[in-house]
Amino acid sequence: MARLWHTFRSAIRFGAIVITTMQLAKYALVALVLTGVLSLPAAANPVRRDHIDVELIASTTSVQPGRTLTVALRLKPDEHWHTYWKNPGDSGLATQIDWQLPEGFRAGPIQWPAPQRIDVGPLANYGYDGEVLLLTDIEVPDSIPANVPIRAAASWLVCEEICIPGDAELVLDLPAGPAAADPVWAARIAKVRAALPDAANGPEVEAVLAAGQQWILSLPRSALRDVGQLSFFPEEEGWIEYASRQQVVEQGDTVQLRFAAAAGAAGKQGRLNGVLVAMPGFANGSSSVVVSPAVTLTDTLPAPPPPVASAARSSLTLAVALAFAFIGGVILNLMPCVFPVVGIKVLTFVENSRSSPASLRSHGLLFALGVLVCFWAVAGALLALRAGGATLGWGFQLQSPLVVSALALLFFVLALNMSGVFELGSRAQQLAGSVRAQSGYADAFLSGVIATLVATPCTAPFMGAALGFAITQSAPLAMAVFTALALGMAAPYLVLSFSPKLVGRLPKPGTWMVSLKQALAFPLYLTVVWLVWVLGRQIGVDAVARLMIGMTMFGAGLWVYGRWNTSSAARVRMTARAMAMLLALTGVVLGWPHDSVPQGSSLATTSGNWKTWSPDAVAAARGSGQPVFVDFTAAWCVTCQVNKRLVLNRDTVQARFRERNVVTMVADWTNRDPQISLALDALGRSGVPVYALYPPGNGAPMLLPELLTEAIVLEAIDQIAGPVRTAASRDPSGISIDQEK
Amino acid sequence: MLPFVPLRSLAAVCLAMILAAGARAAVEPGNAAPDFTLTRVDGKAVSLSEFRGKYVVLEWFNSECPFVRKHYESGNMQALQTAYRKRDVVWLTINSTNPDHSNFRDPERSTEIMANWKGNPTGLLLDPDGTVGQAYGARTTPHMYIVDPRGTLVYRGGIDDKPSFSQRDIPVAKNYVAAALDELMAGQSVSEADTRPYGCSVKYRY
Repeated sequence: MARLWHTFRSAIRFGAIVITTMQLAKYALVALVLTGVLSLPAAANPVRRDHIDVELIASTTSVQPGRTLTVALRLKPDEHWHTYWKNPGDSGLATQIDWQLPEGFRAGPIQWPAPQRIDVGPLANYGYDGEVLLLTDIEVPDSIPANVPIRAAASWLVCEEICIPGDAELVLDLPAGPAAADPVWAARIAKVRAALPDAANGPEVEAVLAAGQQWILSLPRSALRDVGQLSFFPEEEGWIEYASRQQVVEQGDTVQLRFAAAAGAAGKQGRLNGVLVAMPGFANGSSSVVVSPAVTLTDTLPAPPPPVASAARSSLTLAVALAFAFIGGVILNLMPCVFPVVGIKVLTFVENSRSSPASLRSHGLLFALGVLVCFWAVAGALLALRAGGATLGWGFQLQSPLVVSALALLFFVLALNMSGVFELGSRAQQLAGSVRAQSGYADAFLSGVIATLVATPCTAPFMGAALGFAITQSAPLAMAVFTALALGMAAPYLVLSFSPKLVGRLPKPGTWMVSLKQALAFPLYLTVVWLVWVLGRQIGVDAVARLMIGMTMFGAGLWVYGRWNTSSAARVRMTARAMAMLLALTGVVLGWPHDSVPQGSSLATTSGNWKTWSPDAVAAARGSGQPVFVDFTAAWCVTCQVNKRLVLNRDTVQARFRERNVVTMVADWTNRDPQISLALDALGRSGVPVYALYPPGNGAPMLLPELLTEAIVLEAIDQIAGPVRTAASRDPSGISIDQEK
Repeated sequence: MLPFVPLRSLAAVCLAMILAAGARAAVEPGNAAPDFTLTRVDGKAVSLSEFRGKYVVLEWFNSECPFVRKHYESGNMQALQTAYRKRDVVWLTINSTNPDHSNFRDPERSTEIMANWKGNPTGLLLDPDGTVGQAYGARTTPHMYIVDPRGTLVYRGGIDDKPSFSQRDIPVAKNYVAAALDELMAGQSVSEADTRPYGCSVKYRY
């Protein structure tokens, strides 16, 4: 056609000279024909339209009579723009091609490559992000003209934040002749063809529609190269909820893909036609297959997958969990809240360094027993409550304002004791501290209990994983993990108590011990400040004032006791004790936290860039192509506060979050929050801190260690967020034309 | 020993939550149409329930969407609105675009646009939070719903059966909404009550 047109124009140009009557008639006829043709938009190839290059290409440079010709519509949108699959999903429009071919030529359907899922907030689209070649096979008749014009009217929708419809009249002129591979396109087209969804050798897939709500596609595990990601793309409308998360569940030799059915799917006729895409691929070598399973309806929803199956869950073996728990227990001794108790313990050993090895051993064992019993009690309570349906996790003790208040008072009393405000008993016996070896068995046990109590806020490194594992196991296994943790915590003392040589190396007892003891009171006062702050976060500043009045009264009582209890006059002693008791009781009554626990977050408004966490917010941000960083934290978690101050809120880290378009969220577990407990469960953890970095879309989250460093966080961001993008926010696949200037 | 089963049911709750987070609530034809109250661009509050006893058409709308423009610039949507409002049908045009999106138009601008198009809905309503859109599972503009006089949803889906952005397709397309309304008013049930909508994605907040 183009050639005719060219001839026609040349003829007009020179017509005045060469025209004859015969020629005039001939050209008039041609012009008549062409007028009809030219009422169509002018054909060109390739064309540039808004945000997209479109071109018609062929795998051969000539058309061979009687042999199939493969042509392709090449759509190359700008970066981050996309076009649509044959089923565009919730919105959008499939690319269309109308072929206008010479007599006898017949075009087959478009051979669609497997699509990608493109999330748009609560909606999902199916299409191609970036360049795509849509192949079509054309049957060529045995007798063809010398020049074959392949003409196509293509229309498409190309989208990024806005979408722009486009169309073009494309033409590709090919000479007749023996087929010769196109040097540019033959290989590309062959590659695209090889990657088309495999229609012939797909695995046996079964489709069950459970209770009209959930699809379960099952295929043999052997059909997959490995169990990785699976995605199903339905060919037709009305079968599946496009935006539903698709979940891979392993059931023995079967791998299932589960996702939500569209409302009304149960009433549909026919088979569930579509494309199944596997990463890292199917056993037959293809990465996508055409499936068309018959539909079986069942009444009941399947049991949820076992909790440890998904990729997000820690798949720790028991041995590893026990090892982690033990190491975590050892490290627990160095945590800020346990440290003063460690100091006291060391003093005990110094003081007892000259007592018999047997007595030392008993001390170590009793301390360990104290730790164990306390851990068992706390863990047992936790498991029992969870078994009863409560959503709790490790550290739950501190979610109760009463427990926080009690701990604050306990630390305050310990600190006063160490400061020398009072001493218990006539024999200068002290609560958890230096005791005579022969008399202090009860105290050794008690110090173990106290050390455990004060340790619970500090979920040490490794402990999160170990405890998460523990809680998802049967009760005996869970208890085993907690036992390992307790043994780890007691281990240093056990080692000391069983090796007199080590104890011998400790400094000799002396007055320095009194000084050290008094000095160690100050970390305890700081711990009190922290606990009071936690209470303030939980139920407000009034409760803080009441607690502090209560503590002051209690302290006054202890001072009265310490000042006059050793008096030689019995009457003075009795009065002092009564006074002390009265003051202490008044203190307890005044300090008792009355306010009900407020639901919801107390740290939500921490600072600028941190948004309040919710599962929907995470899903939505990921759906829009943004990575999400979630800080699972609590006011009572010291590690959390340290990480926040020293790492997460640093300018460099914050800047990187912004650069990589990472949404940062805070899930605040200071008070009880079942939603957060469930989210922690899903991550295989049961305590805070947990730092989870979710990739955009569906991938498994990346869990960061519990003690963060700047390097760890920056590296994780780079790893998950990919290459730097422009700061402009994206709204992919929304279709619209923004006409405002 | 503590039973293992409750831990499993806990996991079930967890899964249900994850699924719930991903799934959208949507009504099917035959279900009760969720009631709502939205503000018209002229400031008046409008509830679905106040139109009990009449057929109500809900039209999801975004003036900047090429598919919506196809039906307004051709006059197709206005003709439907006028024709059926004459037959006592209530026509509510709902825009669920979130205010942060470049497609959002404030009430004044929306009024102006609708006036320029000589649109004739009973009301143009703004749903900036997208709650009504999500309650109905509206996913495209346009996306059409019909509620019967008893408050039951009787149609949901596309405006017609030719998913394209070309006005040339309108005369040859089957208009599902007109067909459904005609059937309903003739006392019949809707033969195609659940069809595929086509158009731009609704610009929900996320």
